[in-house]
Amino acid sequence: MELPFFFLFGGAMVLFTLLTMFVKNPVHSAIFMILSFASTAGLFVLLDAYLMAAIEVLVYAGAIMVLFLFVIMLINLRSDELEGMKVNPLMVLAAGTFFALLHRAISDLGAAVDPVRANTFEGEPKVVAKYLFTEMVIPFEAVSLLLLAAILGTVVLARRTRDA
Amino acid sequence: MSFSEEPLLYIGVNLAKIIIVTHVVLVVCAYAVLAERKVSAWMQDRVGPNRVGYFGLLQPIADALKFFFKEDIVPGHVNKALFVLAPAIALMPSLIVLAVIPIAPPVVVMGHTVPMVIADLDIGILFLFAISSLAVYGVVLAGWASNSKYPLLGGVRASAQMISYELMLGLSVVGIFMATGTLRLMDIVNLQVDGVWNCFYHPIAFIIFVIAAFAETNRLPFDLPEAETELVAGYHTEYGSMKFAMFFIGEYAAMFGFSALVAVLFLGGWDIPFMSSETFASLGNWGAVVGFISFMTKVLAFMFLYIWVRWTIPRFRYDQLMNLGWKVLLPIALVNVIITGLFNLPKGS
Repeated sequence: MELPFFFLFGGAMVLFTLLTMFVKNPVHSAIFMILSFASTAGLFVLLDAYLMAAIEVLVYAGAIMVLFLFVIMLINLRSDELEGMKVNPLMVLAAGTFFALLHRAISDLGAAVDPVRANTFEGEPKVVAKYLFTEMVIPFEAVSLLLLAAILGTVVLARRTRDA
Repeated sequence: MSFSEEPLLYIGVNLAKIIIVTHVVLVVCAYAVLAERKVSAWMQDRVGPNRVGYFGLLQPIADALKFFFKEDIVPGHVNKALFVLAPAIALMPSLIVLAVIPIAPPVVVMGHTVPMVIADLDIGILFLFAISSLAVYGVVLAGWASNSKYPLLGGVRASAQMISYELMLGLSVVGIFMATGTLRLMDIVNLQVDGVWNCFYHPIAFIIFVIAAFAETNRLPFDLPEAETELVAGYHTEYGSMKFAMFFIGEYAAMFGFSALVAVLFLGGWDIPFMSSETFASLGNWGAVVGFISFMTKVLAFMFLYIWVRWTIPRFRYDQLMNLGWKVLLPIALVNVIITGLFNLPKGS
């Protein structure tokens, strides 16, 4: 019963992610990204991780991508302005470093968190909350500090260009 | 009754629920449009539509026919695929969210207890927020795909407005979950049936939620994305015939959804004051009928409030809208969460 759905959502996810990268129009690209998030949410549902599925749609598809679209629409690039982007070595380096970090983080995680098992005890939200407010409270706060720093940095950078 | 025990019955019952709920809501939406025109006429000392049928009661049917038979124009300068898709995206989330809203006490049919909700999800309210957060794409993509000035401005306004007020919406209900300890809407209603309505326990959250609900549905005083006096008609300027109608139905379906949510979260769902769950159970299936009538009364009363406010309060300016959201409502909502936390400290701490 689950296998065809796995291939449906997984295949859709891969397809939409590829389309996100290779479509020319940035708005279309953003829409394919939303669809790929929706397929990911489908995969979470197959794992009985309903909370993750809801958060995937609520946060990524429903909030972050709206802001992406907002920015794309405000800049409103014409297609001839999009041609000028070339790959430079710095980009490759940045992407490679990020991929390495991500790979390390995921392989460290291993099978520590099993969404199916977590869900069968006492309802998933409770399990997640328990982790978040006990064991994980320091990493959680560290991430929020990091995000705060990022927001402040963005504001400072934006201000500086306006004054100049 | 579960899928694994009796798959056919399970599918049949759920299909019936889906069909009934969708159609009831669409009919209510059609008549809400008539109510809007009648109430506005009444408030402005006019007569309102009274030509089609007795008191204009057949007006929604005439309107629907008109929409169906109008020529479906797609202007030449638009991005065609998204232009066609946008009205559907605007309408669908408002209908999908109805799946998790409990409308009446359970009914007993042929020895089976059938809960009066399409999907009784563990994470009901999160599902609802997740799906309704997608509604903004209808407006934003319509604005962008129309490829003209005023719709684009409407779309840009909508994206910022709906993201901002989603935050207040989510924060205002956090207090309820802290007090009840559940995200399942059915449990939240049951707790209120045997206890006190949440609007008395969480009055500040109630007020914030109602204000945010007005902003999320793009209704006056927060209808900045369409603002006909400044943006012609905002994001749906370029739309006509049935595509325009879908935006229209989407708006009223969203109103219905939020009214139902206010009823479920704050006004006790199907509860009638001084009736407990035993009273409902002792009435058998009539309990469900009484409960459904009580629930619909609350929903329709809240929809009347929507209409009442629209024809009473003038539109906000955009900076006022953002100031109200981020500098007034957000701090109040955060303080409210802290206060609720202090009142609901876990036992033994």
